[in-house]
Amino acid sequence: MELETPFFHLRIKDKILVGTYKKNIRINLEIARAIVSTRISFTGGENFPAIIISTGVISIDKPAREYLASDEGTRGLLASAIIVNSAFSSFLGNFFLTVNKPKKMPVKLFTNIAAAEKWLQQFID
Amino acid sequence: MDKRLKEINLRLSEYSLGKFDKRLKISPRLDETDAIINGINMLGDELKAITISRDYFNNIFNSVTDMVFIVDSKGIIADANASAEGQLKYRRGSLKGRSINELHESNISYFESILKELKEKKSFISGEGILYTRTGVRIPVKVQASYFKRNEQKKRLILLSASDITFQKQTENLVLRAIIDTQEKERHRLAKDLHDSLTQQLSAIKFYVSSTAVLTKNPREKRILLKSNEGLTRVIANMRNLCFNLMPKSLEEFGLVKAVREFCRHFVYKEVNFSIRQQNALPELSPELAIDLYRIIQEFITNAIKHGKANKVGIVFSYDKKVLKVLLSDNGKGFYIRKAGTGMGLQNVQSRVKSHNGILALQSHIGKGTTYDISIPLNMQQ
Repeated sequence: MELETPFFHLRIKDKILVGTYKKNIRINLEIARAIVSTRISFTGGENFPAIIISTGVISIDKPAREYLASDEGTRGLLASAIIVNSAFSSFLGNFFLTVNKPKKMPVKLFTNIAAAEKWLQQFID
Repeated sequence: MDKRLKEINLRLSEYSLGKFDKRLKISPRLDETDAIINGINMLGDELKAITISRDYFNNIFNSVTDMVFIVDSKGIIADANASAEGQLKYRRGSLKGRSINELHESNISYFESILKELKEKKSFISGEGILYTRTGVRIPVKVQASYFKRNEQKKRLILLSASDITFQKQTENLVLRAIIDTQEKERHRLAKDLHDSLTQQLSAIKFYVSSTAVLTKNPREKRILLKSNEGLTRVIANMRNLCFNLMPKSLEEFGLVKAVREFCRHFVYKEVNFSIRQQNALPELSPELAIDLYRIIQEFITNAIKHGKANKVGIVFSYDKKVLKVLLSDNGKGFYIRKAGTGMGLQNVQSRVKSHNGILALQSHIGKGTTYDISIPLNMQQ
């Protein structure tokens, strides 16, 4: 099952939701809301652990960061593994985790997908 | 220097000055410098939000008309708002580091009692107290206290807010004064009527009875008349005591201490030992204050002997720093203050003290007796 939107690509693989952001995306609150709403529709309200490949993201403004870390922004996610494979995305991911870490959802940064999948196994029923 | 590094340098300098509006541009290269630029942009977002929320809090903190103090668990003021410093006549920032007890009038540590009550209730308490300005002017206040947790600090702070209730207290005192004055006028009228009519008439009857007893030859009639004369003597003495209690003339003529000595001398329970001391010269008291203190002492002695079964009563008068102090003590049975608090007697005592902006510190221990420690500020007297 897959879905292509103007902001990201979504698919479910081995009970893990994989979201890949499009290249050069600048996320503001409006885009963040659209991303969450589309994700919830795609999963049909079912809860999934997720891999988020954020290498295409150039910036996330403060309201968007706060929304994505909120209970509403993390709805339907059991845990998130954020893939950072450049200095740029690593910097962004670290900032997000330090300043806007979600309160209810476990979240961790990874540089490769295999390690992320392994960590997320504990959240699969 | 690289153009982007120059921009970073400029932006960080501006952030240091509190200017958080501008952001740096991220290049299409998305290299390490861009990563740092992105981080600086997000830092700018956060700093701006924190500054706005801090300014917003500071504006509220300093705009409210109530005095607000943030106090640590030892009672040391960590912060005080503009209203607190203004109303208490302290320079900006000069309340920080002082103990909240410096501003309070109390025989026991006022802050400790707030802390104890907060620990028991664990949320929010409210009560009344007195704050003093730097120049010594007293301000009656309504105090509210709750715990205040700053960021992730483990050390608990306490938020105290105090609103000036001077006007409310003045109105309450006027009403109390009017009630008390009406009672006193009525007592005065009753004492005068009893003294001028009944006592005079009884004295006249006593004169006829004693004269007839002298003149009569019949021994049986003589005996009856002499007994009647003795009875009348006792009734007249009781009537005079009653009039004295209702309105002691010596209070007007010789002042509070002498009137109290006279009251104790005439007291019906002769086995009671009274110790009356005046530690220094007292200033001239207003008639209202003198009669109120006299009534309080009367009430205390009556309770000590009738209910407390005391055989020792101590009364100490003193005057220091424009405060009149009256310390009353007995060695009676004592009582539970909370149970007695609703009784008319104690309420009357409290009303009389309150009507002079005074403080009554009451202690009673079962089996050990009772003390009333009364403080009346005389600079507040009209």
